Amino acid sequence: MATVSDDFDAFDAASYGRLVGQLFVVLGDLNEAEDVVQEAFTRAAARWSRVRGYEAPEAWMRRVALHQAFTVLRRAKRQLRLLGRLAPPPEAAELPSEVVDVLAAMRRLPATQREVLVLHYLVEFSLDEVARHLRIPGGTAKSRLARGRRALASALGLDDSREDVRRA
Amino acid sequence: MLDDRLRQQLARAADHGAEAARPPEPAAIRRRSRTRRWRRAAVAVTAAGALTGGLVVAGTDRPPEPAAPAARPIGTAPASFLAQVNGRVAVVATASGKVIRYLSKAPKGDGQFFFALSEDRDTVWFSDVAVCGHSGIYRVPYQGGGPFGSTPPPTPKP
Repeated sequence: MATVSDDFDAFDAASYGRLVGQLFVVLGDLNEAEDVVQEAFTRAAARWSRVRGYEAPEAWMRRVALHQAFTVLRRAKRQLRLLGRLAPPPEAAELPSEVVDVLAAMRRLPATQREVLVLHYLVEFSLDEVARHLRIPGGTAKSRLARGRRALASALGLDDSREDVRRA
Repeated sequence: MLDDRLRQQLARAADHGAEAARPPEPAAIRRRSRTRRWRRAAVAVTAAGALTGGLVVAGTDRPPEPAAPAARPIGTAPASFLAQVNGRVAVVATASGKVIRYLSKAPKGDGQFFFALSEDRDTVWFSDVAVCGHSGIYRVPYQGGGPFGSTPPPTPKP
């Protein structure tokens, strides 16, 4: 008979990598992505008997991780200002150039647009689902997606025709 | 078309992150969660104790004899104690329960104070810990009369 703990272990293995990948795109840093996802898992473990009953426990964890990611981004902005005065930037980890391009383009966007892009393109949420997940009005989700999409396409040198924008 | 290309590029970056991720042992996550729960409970108990009772730290209002440590007959209450009154650090008379003097100005936030009296009983250190907003460590003379306000927190040891 499967115990609550087995249940958590199985869930952990299945969704950890997926969530880290999504948060990696938002944060642009693998270590920080792992940190925020582990934080979400730690919180979930504390109330697993409740969280496992949710329709989508992974969505709950994603929301916690995204919330945590915002905190990390705010802190990073402060640290970056200080680091800029004190020391040269740390060496970037070895990443394929196309991944570096995507991360650099994402980093130029506001965090609110990044999370909408990730939820829409990676988690494959519809605009309504994105709005529900982030607890924002549908119009806000739509405008964030349109702006983020336009800015990302332009940064990546992709064609962004009017028709595409309307379709989003 | 553009959507597909964006989706592809984002997915490639996400896949790279997912492959490079090193999942921790679930047991380690559960252990961390348990530790945190215990720590939180300990902090709550400590804060509740400090809130309800204040911290009895002062034996008398007079400066003690240098050679005589704080030995008191059993059963004798201290003349005064430190407490948080109206959001300020105050010395309160044990007998009457009245504030003898305030040691701090009104706080800027809604923080909870934690007090400590220096060994020579000259200085009260207190931390004002707010959930969000300002917080810090402050120092005021126990006898009062000194300038109110904060001093920079001591440099933490590595």
